[in-house]
Amino acid sequence: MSKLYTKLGESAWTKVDKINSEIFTLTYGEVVNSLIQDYETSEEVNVQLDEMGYSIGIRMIDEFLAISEVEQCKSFRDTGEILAKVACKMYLGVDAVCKYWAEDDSAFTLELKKNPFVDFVELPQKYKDLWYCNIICGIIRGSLETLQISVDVKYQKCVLRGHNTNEIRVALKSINKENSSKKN
Amino acid sequence: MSKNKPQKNILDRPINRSKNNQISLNFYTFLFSQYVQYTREHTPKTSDLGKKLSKVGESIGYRLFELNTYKDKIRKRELKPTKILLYITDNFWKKIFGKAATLHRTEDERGQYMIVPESSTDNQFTELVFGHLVCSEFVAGLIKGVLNSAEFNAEISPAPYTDDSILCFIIKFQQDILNRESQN
Repeated sequence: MSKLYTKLGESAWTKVDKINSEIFTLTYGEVVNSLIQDYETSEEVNVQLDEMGYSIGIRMIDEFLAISEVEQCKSFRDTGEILAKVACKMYLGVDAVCKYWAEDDSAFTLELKKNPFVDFVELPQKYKDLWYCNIICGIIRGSLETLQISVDVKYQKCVLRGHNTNEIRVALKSINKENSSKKN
Repeated sequence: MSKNKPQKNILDRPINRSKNNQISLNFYTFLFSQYVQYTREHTPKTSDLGKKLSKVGESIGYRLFELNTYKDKIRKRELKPTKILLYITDNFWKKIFGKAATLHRTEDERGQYMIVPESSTDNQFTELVFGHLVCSEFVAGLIKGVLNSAEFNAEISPAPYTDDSILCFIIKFQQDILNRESQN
């Protein structure tokens, strides 16, 4: 199943129009900069980034389903794999991995070895509590919630904070099955 | 927060020399439109929205110019206005929008030029939620940023070209630049 998703991811990547990732990195930097100027604490900026990501996620999911042509997920495990292999590839052009699955498949960690958001970025000591790419958490939360899958998404490791990789923990809260069967 | 390994000084890290680092255009558009929405909500006056976007564009354009000249190993500085504008229309525009733009010289005033983009690719980028003029301020800011970085002072204003669907950018160099050119 994993190979199928990798293939889907790659074919979706070839279908989409692309732009230079540097302008993206710099634009995102400006976004974070604006938020830092508007809000006092790193915590508030984190929340704002998550909110922004949420709004993006609820709009992005339709396009994702249309372009990637994935089928309905049979389990949360499928959701995780699709997120890593298809969505990350299609939008960011990076290969992500799902790992550290919880025993009952209710949570996983998404690992991004290469993250286009953080190129050229250095986090000063003043903002050591900032999760710079928190927008990704919001995007995941927003898009899954539109599919009636309620999740808790938190950033766990970020290269800007000195860790050696980027990790996001996605934990399932609930699936509203009645409505989800009508979608897709 | 414990660190896993000592962080390399950001200035020592290699700039990724791969010319093909790309990201999905749609993802960029989502981020950009969300940022425009955020700025609109946080700007008391609507006229300030264009200014804010222009400022953001300047900041990005400034850095992009430095990054690109470094990557392309351009060792010689451009001294003439026409040369730097040709760099923008050919090299820079192609990197960002995929196609080169055309440079025109306006007959009525000395030192005034016009950048006319190809309608198809550019409108995709500027035709976002709030319509042409607002997002074109961003692109005008990008051009200004590049010119600032190259030490040319100019005023950039977007204006409709022959028909309303294409927006061009009118560039008016400041008097000291024109004096500089006439001296050489």
